[in-house]
Order: sequence, then structure tokens, then C-alpha cells
Amino acid sequence: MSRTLTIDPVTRIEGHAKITIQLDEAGQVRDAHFHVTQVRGFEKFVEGRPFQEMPSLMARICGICPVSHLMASAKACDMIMAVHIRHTAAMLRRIMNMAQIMQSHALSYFYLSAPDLLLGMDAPPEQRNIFGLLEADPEMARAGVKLRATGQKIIEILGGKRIHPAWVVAGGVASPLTEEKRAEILALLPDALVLAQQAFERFAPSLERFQAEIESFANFPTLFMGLCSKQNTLEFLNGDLCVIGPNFEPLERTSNAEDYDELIGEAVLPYSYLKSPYYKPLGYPAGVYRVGPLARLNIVERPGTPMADRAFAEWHKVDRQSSFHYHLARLIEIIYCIERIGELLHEPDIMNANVRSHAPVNRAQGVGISEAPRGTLIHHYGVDDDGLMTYANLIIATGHNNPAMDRGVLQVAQRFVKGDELQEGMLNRVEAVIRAYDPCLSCSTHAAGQMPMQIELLSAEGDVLSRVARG
Amino acid sequence: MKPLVIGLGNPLRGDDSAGQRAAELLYHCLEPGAADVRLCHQLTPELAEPLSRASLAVFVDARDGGEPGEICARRVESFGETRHTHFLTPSALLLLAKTLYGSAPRAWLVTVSAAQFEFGAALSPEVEQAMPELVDRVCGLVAAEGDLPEMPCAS
Repeated sequence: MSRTLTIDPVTRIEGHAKITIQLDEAGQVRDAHFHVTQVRGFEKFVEGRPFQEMPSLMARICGICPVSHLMASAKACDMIMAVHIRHTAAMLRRIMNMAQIMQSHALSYFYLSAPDLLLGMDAPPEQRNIFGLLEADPEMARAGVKLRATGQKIIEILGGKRIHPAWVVAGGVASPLTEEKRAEILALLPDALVLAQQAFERFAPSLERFQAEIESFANFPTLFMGLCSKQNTLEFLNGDLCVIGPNFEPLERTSNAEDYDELIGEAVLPYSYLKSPYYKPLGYPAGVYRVGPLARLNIVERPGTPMADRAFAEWHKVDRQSSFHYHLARLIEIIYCIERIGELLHEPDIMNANVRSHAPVNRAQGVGISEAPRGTLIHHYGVDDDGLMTYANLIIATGHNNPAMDRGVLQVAQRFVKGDELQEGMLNRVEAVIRAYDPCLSCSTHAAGQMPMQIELLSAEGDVLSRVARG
Repeated sequence: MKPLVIGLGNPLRGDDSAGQRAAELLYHCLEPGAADVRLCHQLTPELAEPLSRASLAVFVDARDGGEPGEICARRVESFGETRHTHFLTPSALLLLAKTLYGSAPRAWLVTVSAAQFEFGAALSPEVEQAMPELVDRVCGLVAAEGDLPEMPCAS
């Protein structure tokens, strides 16, 4: 008799999802899917609002990465106004965006994934959390807290508050940088850089312990997509949109954000509210691609700052198709962000007071693309002559990764799940492959581990044969 | 070292904003710089470090239960085990501060019972009416360095 295992909710991710694993009569995994079970409807209820409100409205999508939505939204509004924002404003936006990436990566690595990586995938769930990490390795726990706090503090210094800052606006930013704020941010960076480098130096040599996970955590050829600079270095805000193939060969490169519509199609699958984007020229599913830290580091020739470039030497030693290496990529990107923020704060124009451009509606459509911590984020707006929103399409980073996550669940389940001997560790690995992507399912806050993870064994007729709950 | 006041809650969920609102009003009865005042949606591990440096901690929050507008104040000890990563209890945060940074201050939790947690920035009339007393209670604790009797909740 075939059976279905359901993991609902998936814990230690941002938002709500569940996983189902279909077993065959022999107890072997036949199929598996990742389902997103929440729907938010932002695209619909912004219709009729003035486009200038969009950055603030869009930031409300998420309490974890409001800054990312601010960036993509503001860029879409810039295009509606047909303005090229001031150089200083662009640099200030970059700094805030990188602070966001830094704090989000710290949350993902140290709070959500390090318990698995340090304590082991088979450790009891009541230990696999930051308090378990605290007992096992207080130094690493302190590093995580410090790095996240540093990113949040930079956002707060620039935007006035940590969550939902309204400082990034259509046409630039609301206020220039002061010398006091510049000094305050610069003072935060040296300690943070040391901690990030130490975390990288500890994690990189430990990868050999995770060979089974590296081989099976969504380790398959896909395309990769992300922004990169003209010099083929990391660029999270204003770069070209690049697509590379499964052998890391360039497939596409455009500086025109509006081209996204030619590059990306969206498949709708019956078991998830999340759409499944794909690279249009190859169709679905051949055009499945991944975004985020793994993709970005696979696309660039080097990150572009001294210490991150040195860390990048390790990158070419790993199996870059494995989604397990999102973790390593995050640590390299944290190093890059800290260094790059410091570089930008020493740019001669960084204190310029001209940071906002003003213009009426000059175009009926605007597209903004930025790199969120989890990957490429696209906001596409349409407005009427009065600047009222008539249309919004958002392709969020997690959405891009949806097909790869889905396929990754199947791969890891086939490797670790045996239907006749359900164990905590193997189910945790199925969750952990999702956690490697750090999906942000737009983002109701939840308590990891507090929520029960429920596994149900269902007969082919849908009857519950047995139920296991934890938490 | 100075006292740390943490006003907790979601400013867009009715009476849940009472903690943040009270913290914003402390300037009425505290000298500038007399306390480090922070507004938060919820407690997170990043607060452990500033907490470890505080001479006294006062958490101000809305309470789900009791007669709307009722104010309670009780001491908080560091204890407990939590698996939360997005929010913590005051007790768990104190434990985190002590374990990570070697020190945790004496702490109080001051609450006002909420009438509603609906969408919107407005407080209920009961909680609005209780705000001056809530603010006074927090200021009193800060001024007395935490040496005040507890005000247990009636229910």
C-alpha cells in the first residue's frame, strides 16, 4: 500500500510551508513536493494606490527583508518617473541593501542552520536551536548575534528604524548621510569583519563532514540567475541580469530590467500557491534555475573585495551544483558586504546632500530588480496618468527557487527517508534542504521548534494510518 | 550603566501597541538620557547584549487576559528553555544575556490588559485611559531602580 508522509509546518524557515513525501508499496520514496500554503495578495490590493506609496507598502510584505522590497520597489518607481537617481543616493541604497543581506544571512546561518551544522542533523530537535548552539559553542552564538545586530544597526542608523524603514523612496533616499552616522557605521565594521572571517574559516574546512548532504541536497544541474556588475563581480542593486547554464556558461545578460518578461515564464502547479518560474527560452522544466547566494557566486568571476576574493578561492573547490553550499556562499557574501560597505563609506561623494530626484509620471510602467538575500527580486508596476497603480507583478526570490526546492526535496527524501523506519534525523534532512535556500515565504513570524511538525502516514485512499508529532 | 526599557508590541494591532506607546511617552517623566529606551515588535536574541549592560530592565507589554486596562507589574527572573528564534520571553532573554555575556540585570515586566488586538493603530478606550498610569509605573520603577512592590494581576 502506498503512503504519504506530510511534514507540516516546515520549521526554521520564514513563513509557512509543508512537505509531502509519497512512498510506494515497498516503502521507497516515489515522489515528494514542497508546498507553500499561504497566500498574501499584495499584488491585488495595491491597485489604485499612488505609486509613490509603493516602497512603503511593499516593505510590509515582510518583517525579515523589508529593505529588499524597498529597493526593488523604489527602482520600479524610479523607472515610472524616468529618473536616474543621484550617484550618492545609489550608493546609500547599496549600503542599506548590503546591511540587509548581512543581517539576513547571519539569521539564516547562525540562528537557523548552524544548529544542524554544528550539533548534527540527528541531534534531538529540542537542541537544534540557538540555545542548543549556545551550550555547544557560545562563541559562535555570540558571533551570530553580533553580526545580525550589526546589519540591523546599520539599517537603523540609515533608515531610522530596523523594521520597515521609510528612508528609501521613489527617486532616491529621503535624507543624506551625516558625518556622525558615517562614523557610527564605520566603527561597527572591523569587529563584524573579524567575526565573519572566523565563521568562514571554521565552516569551510568542516565541509567534508557533510559529504552525504552535499551529494543529495538539491545537487543537480540547473541554470543560475542573478545580478552582476559590468566587471563580473557581485552587485546587489544595479547590475546586469545574468543567466548562466548548468555548466556555468553564459546564456543571457541584459541591463534592461524590462527584459525580464522575455526571460522568465511562470508555471502554476496545483499543489502550491507559489508560482514556478523558469527561463523562457528553454521552457519548463528544462529552464529551471536557482537564484541567491549560490547562484550569485556561480555567476561572478570574483566577489570584488579583498577578503571575500580570498575566501572565494575555496568556492572553486566545492561542488557548486549542490544547494548545500548556499551556507558557504552566505558566509562569503557577509564578508563581501562588510568590506563593500566600508569602501562605499569612503567614497568622496558619499556625503553629498543631493540624494533625491523628483519627477511626475513619465512612463506607464516600471520594473525594479534587486538582489535580496535569498535571490533576485523583481517588482513590475503599471500606473495610469495620475500615477495610480493599475497593475503589480512581484517575482520574489523564493519563487525563483521553488522548482529547484521541489526537486531537491525529492532528491534528499530518496536518499534519507525509508518508510519503514521513520526517524527524526532523516525528516530533519528533508527540512534542511529547504532551509539551505533560506526561503522567505513572505513572512509571518513564527516560533521555530515551537510549532509541531506532524508526519502523517496516509493510505492510498487518504486514511491516516499513523501520526507522529513533535514540538 | 543605565536602565533599559523595552516597549513591546505591534503598532498596527490595536492594544498590542501599548508597550511601544508607553515607551514613547516616557519622556514625560524621565530625564533625557535617564534610560535606554527601545521599541520592538518582539524580543530577539540581539537584545541580549544591551540587556547585559543594563542596570535594570523593564519590559512593557500588552497582556492577553484580565480586565481591559488593568496594570500589573512583576519581577522577572532568568530561566527557562526556548526554541524560539524569532522571539523570546523576557525570562529567556535574561538567561541568554547571562549565558552569552555573563550578566543580566534585575528585571520587571509591566503589562496592561488589552481589550482587542484588531488591525489598526488605535488603542481601545480602556487601554488609552490606562496609559498615564502605565507610563507612571514604568517611570516609578526606573526612578526606584526596581525597588517597588509587585502589582499582581487580579486574574
